[in-house]
Order: sequence, then C-alpha cells, then structure tokens
Amino acid sequence: MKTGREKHRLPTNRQIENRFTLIRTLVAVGIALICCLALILLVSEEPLQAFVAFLTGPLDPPKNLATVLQTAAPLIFSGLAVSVMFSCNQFNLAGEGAFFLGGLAGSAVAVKLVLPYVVHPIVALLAGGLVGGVVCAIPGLLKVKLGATEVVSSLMLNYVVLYLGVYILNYFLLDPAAGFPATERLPDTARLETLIPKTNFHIGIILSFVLCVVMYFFLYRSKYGYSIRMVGQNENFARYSGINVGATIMMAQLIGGILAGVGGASEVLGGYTRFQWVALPGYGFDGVIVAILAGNNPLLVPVGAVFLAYLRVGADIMSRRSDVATEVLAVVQGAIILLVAAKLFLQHIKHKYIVANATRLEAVKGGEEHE
Amino acid sequence: MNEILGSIFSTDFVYSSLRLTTPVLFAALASLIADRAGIINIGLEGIMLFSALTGVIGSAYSQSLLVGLLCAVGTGLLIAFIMAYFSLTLHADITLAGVAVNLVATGGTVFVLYSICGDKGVSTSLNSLVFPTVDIPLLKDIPVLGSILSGHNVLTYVSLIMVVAVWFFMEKSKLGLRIRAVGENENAAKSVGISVVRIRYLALMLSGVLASLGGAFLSMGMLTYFSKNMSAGRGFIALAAEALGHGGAVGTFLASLVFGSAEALSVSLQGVGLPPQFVQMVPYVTTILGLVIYSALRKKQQKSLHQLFKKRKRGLR
Amino acid sequence: MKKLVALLLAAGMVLVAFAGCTKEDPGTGGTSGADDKVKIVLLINGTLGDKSFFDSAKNGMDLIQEKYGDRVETQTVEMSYDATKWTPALIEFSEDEETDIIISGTWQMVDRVIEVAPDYPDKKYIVYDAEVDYSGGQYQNVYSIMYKQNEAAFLAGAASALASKTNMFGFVGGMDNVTINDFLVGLISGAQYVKPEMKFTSAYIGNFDDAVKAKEITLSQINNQNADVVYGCAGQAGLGSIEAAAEKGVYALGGDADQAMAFKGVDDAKAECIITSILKRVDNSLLKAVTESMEGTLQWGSSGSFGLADESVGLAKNEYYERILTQEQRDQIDEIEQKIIAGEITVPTAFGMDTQEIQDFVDAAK
Repeated sequence: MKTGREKHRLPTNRQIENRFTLIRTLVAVGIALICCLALILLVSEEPLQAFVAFLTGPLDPPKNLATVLQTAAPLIFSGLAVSVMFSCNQFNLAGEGAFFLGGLAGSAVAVKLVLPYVVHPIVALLAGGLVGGVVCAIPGLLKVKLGATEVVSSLMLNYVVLYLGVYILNYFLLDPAAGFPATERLPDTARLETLIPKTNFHIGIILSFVLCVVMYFFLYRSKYGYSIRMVGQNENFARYSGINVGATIMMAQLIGGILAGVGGASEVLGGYTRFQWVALPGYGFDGVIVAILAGNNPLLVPVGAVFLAYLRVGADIMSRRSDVATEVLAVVQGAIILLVAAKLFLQHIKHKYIVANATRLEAVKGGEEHE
Repeated sequence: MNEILGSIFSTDFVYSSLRLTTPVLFAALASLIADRAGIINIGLEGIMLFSALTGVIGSAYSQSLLVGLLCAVGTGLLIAFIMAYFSLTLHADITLAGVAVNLVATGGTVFVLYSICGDKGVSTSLNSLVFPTVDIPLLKDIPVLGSILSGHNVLTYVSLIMVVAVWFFMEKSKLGLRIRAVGENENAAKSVGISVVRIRYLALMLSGVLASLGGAFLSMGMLTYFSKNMSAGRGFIALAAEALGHGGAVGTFLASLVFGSAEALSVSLQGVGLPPQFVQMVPYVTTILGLVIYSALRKKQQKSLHQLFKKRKRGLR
Repeated sequence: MKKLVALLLAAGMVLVAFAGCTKEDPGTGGTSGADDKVKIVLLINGTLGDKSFFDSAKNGMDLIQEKYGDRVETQTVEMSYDATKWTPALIEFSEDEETDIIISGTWQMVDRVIEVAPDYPDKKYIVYDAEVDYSGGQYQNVYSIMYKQNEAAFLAGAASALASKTNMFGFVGGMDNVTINDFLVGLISGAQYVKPEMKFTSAYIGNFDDAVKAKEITLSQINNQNADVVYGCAGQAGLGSIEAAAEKGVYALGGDADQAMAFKGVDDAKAECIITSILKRVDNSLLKAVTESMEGTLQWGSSGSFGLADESVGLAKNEYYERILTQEQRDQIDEIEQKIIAGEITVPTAFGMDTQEIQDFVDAAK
C-alpha cells in the first residue's frame, strides 16, 4: 500500500522528458539574458540603469503591460502559423509574406468596401486569411507536386509577395494626399475596437488568444491535427498507415497561411491608422522564435509570444532610458533559438536523472517483490 | 526598346553581371559544400553580413587588407563553428540554427556598428580598405573579351578560381569524396569508418569561409563601406542557385551567373516603363521559376528511371 | 537539478551585485523635481544615425538647448521603426506632467498626434514634415512644419544642369513613392528651367538598404545612358550612387545632410564629385518654431511652410560647390533662389499627384 503510493510518486520517463524540456528552455533563456547583460556591461556607461529599464520597464508604469500584450498579438498569430506548419515538419518561411499580404488584403477590404460595424472587420480579417493561405500554400504545392525544397522557395516567395504588395499599394490603394506610401485612413467601421483607452490594446489581441485554444483542439484533439503531427514525426510511417501525406502537408500550410494572414489583417486594423508597410515586417521570422519556445504547442504559443514581447518592450524602454541600443536584443533572440532548439543541451544531466530515477524505481519494485 | 536591348547586349551588361554574380557565387559554393555533406546552410546570409562588417572594421583599424580579410574569414569560421556545434553536437535543427544566425546578424551587426562608429546605418566614418581591381595583361587588350573579363575586382577572380577549386576538391580529393559519402548515405559512410560528425563540422566551416569571402566582397570590393542589411537576400538566392546547379560546382556557377544576370537585368530594365516593383521582382521570380523547372525536370527524370526500372523487371521475368 | 537551480540563482545574484556596484550614486541627472524649465521631448519614429532627417532633428534639439541653456530641458527618444510602438510612446510622454512640448515628425506620426493631442489640451505638439488638417478648427495645441523640399531640389536640378555636359541626369530612388518623387519633380523642373534640353533617367531600388544595387543602377545609368550627374535619393543606400559617381568620375548630388563635407578628409574622391547636397534643415525649423514658442509668438493651431526663405531647406554651398560651379553659374543659382523666395518661380510638387500623373511627368523628361 505504502510502496504503491511511493511508486506513483516517481515520475515516468515521459514526465522527466517534459520537465526537462521546460528546464532546458528556462536555462536557455537565462543564459541568453546573461549574454545580453554581458553585452550591456561592455558597451554601456550606465549598465545598471539600462538593465533595470530592460527588465522592469515593461511593468512600470503598469500600463506598459498593455503594450506588451499588444506587441505579443502579432507574435501569437505568426507563432501559431509557424507551429502548425512546423508540426508537419515543413520549414515553410512564407509566413512572413502571408502576414504582409494578409495585412494588405485586410486593409483593401477596409478601405474599398463600405460595410457596417462588426461585419466590416470580420470580412477584412477573412480576406486577410484567404490571401495568407494562398501565399503559404504555394511553397507547399511546389513541395508536394514537384519536390522543390520549401525553405528556398518560401524565402524567395517572400520577396515576390513584398514587391507585388507594394505595387498594389502604389497603383490601386494609394492615398496621394498622404506624404508617404499608404492607403487612405482605415474607416472606423473596420478598425478593431480598442479595449483599454489610451493604449493600443485592441480586440485582435483577444482573438489571438482564442485562436490558440482553437488550434490546440485542432492539432491535439482532431483527426486532421493527428495526421499533421503524424506526417511531421515520420512521413513514411504516416504514409504506410494510410494518411494522404500530400494533402496533409497542403492542409497544414494552408492553415498556417490563414493564421498568418488573419494576423496581418488584425495587426493593421488594430494597431495602425493606415496600411503603410513597404518592407517585410519581420513577424514571420519572429513566429519561428515563438514556435520554438512553445515547442509547436498552441497552448504555449502565448507564453512564448508574451515573453518575447516583454523582452522587446523592455529593450525599447531601455533604449529610451539609457544609452544601450535596442539591437542588443538580436543576440538574446538568436541565443534563445540556438539553445532551445539544441536537443542535447543539458542532455547528460537529464540522463543522469533518468538513470537515478530508474534505479530508484527498480529499488521500489524490488521492495514490492520482497513483500 | 532598342535602347534596352542595346544595353543588355553590351559588354557592360556582361561585366556588370559578373560583378553581381560574385557574392552570390561565393555563397552558392559555400552552400554546395554544406549541401553535399547533407546540411542546408541557411545561415549564409548572416555569415555574409557579419563578415562584411568585421572585414571593414579589421581593415580600418589595422590599415591592412590582409588583416581585414582574416577578420572576415575568421568571423565566417566562428559563426560556422557555432552553427556546427549546436546542430551537430547538440542536435539543434540546422535550419533553426541558420535562422538564429540570420536574426543575430541583422540586429547584431547594427549593434556592433553603433558601438564602434556611433552610427546605425553605414560605416563611412571608418577609413576601411578595398580589394583592388586587376587588369589582366594581354587579355585586357582583346576588344570585346577584354572589357568583359579584365578589370574586375580581385575577389571576382578568386570566386572564379574557387569554382575550379571546389570542383577539384569535391570530385577529386579524398576529403571531397568523404563529404559526398556522408551526404549521400550517412550510414554507409559510418560503416566504412568515416566520422560523420567530424566531416560535417569540416564541411560547414569550409562553407563559412567561402560565404565570408562573399561578405568581404560586398563591403570591401563592390562597395567601400559596410551598410546595414547590405547582403539583401543574396545568401538566400545562393541557396537556390546551388539547388539549381544540382550540387555541381560548374552547374552552381552557371546558376549563379543566371541570377547575377537577372539582377543586372533588373537594373537594365528600369526605364522600360514597367512598374518598378515588377522589375525589382525579376531576380526572385527567376529563382522560383528556375527551382520549379529544375524540380519538374528532376521529377520527370526520376519517373522515367522508375519506369525503366519497372520495364527491366518485367523483362527479366 | 537542485544544484542547477542553486547555480543559476547564485549566478543571478552575483550579476545583480556586480551591476549594483558599477553604478551606485552619481547625480540622478536633470529629471528630478518639477521646476519652471520648459521640457521639450523629441520623439523619433525610427532610430538616430540616418545622417539626415532624424539626426538633423536631434541637432535641432541641441541648438535649442544651446540657445536657452538652463531655461529648457530637452530629451530625444528613439521609438524604433515598429509603428505600433509610436502611439503608446506618444501617450507616455503626454501623460508625463513635466513635459511641455512634444516634437515629432513625418506623416506617420501626424496620424497619431491627431488622435492623442485632443486628450491633452495643456500639452503642446509640434509636428514636422507633415501637416495636420486644421479645417475642422481642431488641434489648437498642434503646430505643423512643412518643408518645401521641391524648392531645394529645383535649385539642385539647376546646378546639375549647369554642371552637366551630356545633358543626362541619372536618378535612383529608394522607393517609388510621393516623397521621393517630389525630389525628382523638383529636380526635373529646375534642370529644365536653365537647360530645356536636359533629360532624366530614373530608377528605383525597392528599399533603402541595398546600396550595392544603388551603385549598380547608377553605374548602368552612367555607362548606358551617358548620365554625368547622378543622385541616389534612397536614404543610406543612396551612398552607393555617390560611390559609383566617384568611381566613374562624374558628378553626384548629396541628400539631406552635407555629404561632401562628411566625406572630406575621410574619402576625398567622393567629396570632390558632389556638386551640392539637398538639405532639409529640420534643425533650423525646429529652432525657429521653439524660439517663437518661447517668445509667445508661435501660432498654435496652424501650419508653417518652411522653404528656402526660412533656411529650412537649401543647398550645401561648400568649397566643392564653389570649385565645381563657376562664379557666373553660382550667381545664376542665387538668382533663381531669390526668384523662388520672391515667389516669381512656382516649383511644381508631387504631392497631390497620383502615381500615373507623376509617371507621366517623369516620362516627359526622358
């Protein structure tokens, strides 16, 4: 009886695995922050002030927290998009282009169509999603039909999409009265409602969180999600178990693109007064960081995104309040990706622990037998 | 229109194509060595950018071209080593390692530049050195050929020599053979006693060196200073060029030349009356089209091979 | 596991302690305590180091500080290029009780200032390089500064035409947009004013980063179209055009800052090929606006158009300018300048034209 409970308390190998993934992520983040601190010490004349601003700035004043969440929203969208595509083991980086063109499509609907409140943003978001889906489907299609590597084709596609978007902006949507390339002001009917006055906390942020839950159920509780993860883990095995691999890959890319496109539209309709991107906004690659932090798990995507957003807002505030440039953050981000992605990082500690655990398990078992 | 055709069929166009090919070629050859060892080196873009910066800084502070070159190459080696350590020793996905390198490079170069020059855009306040251009004796006097092939930057010639060197290295040397063995069949290579990890380390680092030369060319040849994001996607184009070249040095060279020309074309096409955005798309559309055609051809080839195989099988029966 | 946590904790504590002793007590700076100083905040919607627009605005703050010394407190804030950060930063400083005047530039910021300014009627806002729409009688606490960059471009175009022998001008824009094209429209008008046969070839890079491409395009314009004056109107990528000009021994124009003097001593070959630079003197305009504000003469709730007359745009007339253009030619430029100031010459502008109209205008000069 007593030993049974004890046995129950000993973790399984899977639990150890999960716990270690968490620890590894935390240690990675810690190391990355220490690297960052070292750099600040190296270049700054006021390192303490800089570091304090970096770490506590996003909380002081508390309203900055709204900025953190608002910064996190596009990261959540693109993090989700990348998670779905990566779950299928497709390194499709066209999320960047999908986010951009989705934003443009959403703005086009906002500016060109006259629709009532509530309906207008919904149509705009759907248009963004549709366009985003198409963008991400292209590298998927090339991969499935022709075997063209999706990494390269998606990277190239991003540039094509960018120039196409700038062309559409310049020739069809431009407001000549604005002093820079931008659409007309987005009408109030289409803009996503601001929820907290005097901040940029808009309804799109809520939407991003809701989508995380939806995507979790899709990926982990539905047949389609299962197929996607199956293909991602072992394509051949999936094929032999009767899964249509090509269709599954396409579905994952399409869904990823839709998420990114909706994210682009949400970002523009919530945070901007006009569509004004003439360069890729970079959220597609940020999505990679978030997806890695979250281990492609939609429920963890907000955690990763909020964390990254916290760092970004902190870095912005630091550059405002001290002499350290925001770009120091690039080092933190890179280090986080490398360390979290490194499967064998801290491996020996994990092994030691698993061995120790197994020995104890044996001992307990042995005890049971004796009884 | 005639004017445009005139400018395309001019010696100057070819000259300009060769110059624009150089950075892509270095990076494509870098990609080749890594790819043949079974690694997609997506970090080329970041390596080029960082090397471009360190080359400028090194040459400015030492006033020696050699030191500048060594700084650039050393940077390439270091970054490649870090990528190799994480991907090969710690089993991080190599694509992610590449993405990380690229992310660090875009922000990190600006951070370093700002710390040194107090400028977030360009390094013009540093008095950095430039690789000289070379007139090839005899060749330079031949009418058309001379004006195309002579008078290039010394690194352009180095890149051409590298094509031969890489070809020789990959096809004729023992090490090249091992790299190919590792890339083609890891397990078979292991079974004959080749250390897969060690070979891949080596391939990645060679790749880093080649890419760093491309970076040095950007900031110390093509231009005389470092400028933020100056690699402008050329590392990615190189990946595509290498894929098109089917992993062969000569094919990779030809594919790089196509992209160099596409970029030169996008320069010449300005002023035809096309919207500039379409002209700016040319190199990237060319890349995708090239990739599509190449993949389609390969697929067809595989299919026909497959059918041939089937027929044979039937015949044997 | 426990060990690991302990290790990390220890490392963290050491770091904090270390950071703690590096800087403990030096005077807390000027931020302490409310006083009668006028606090002026400049919000940069990008980063410093562009060697032109934003740096010039920062210089304006320095000029203001210099002029008023203890009476003002200035602060410059880089808000980064992430547009979603701009409104929160604007609000943060509007909420700050000590802030009196908030200065920010570009059209992007105007859209945000008009959303924020009405909520803080006791704060003053100055926007530069863009105009607030005052037609509704709103925004009585906002002052707009507009630049007639086309006037300076007109002069530069005239100077280029005088220096040119082949009568061909090569223009490289960062992007095909109104601001960039406003320069082009000014250049064309100015060049053809002194030399009707002057032709223009124009091209765009597609971004403001790729200096390599800027250089390549410029080289192609020099080699194929025979251009002998070139201008890279493309932010930092524009330097690529100057480099091409220096290499080929033709003339170039500089932009935003006095680029010839910036290259002097560092790279004389480049300095010597720059006829002149088109200057947008954000610094002068800010100093002027703040001075009027300090003296109580500034008309809040209106906009001022700052051009040649206010020394807020102009040409860099340095030693190289004097070396390249003859006395007679320089007199001619000065004469045109006076005519523009007097309103005898009206310089056309790309603002208000749509993409097609601009293209037609540019095509006519091909």
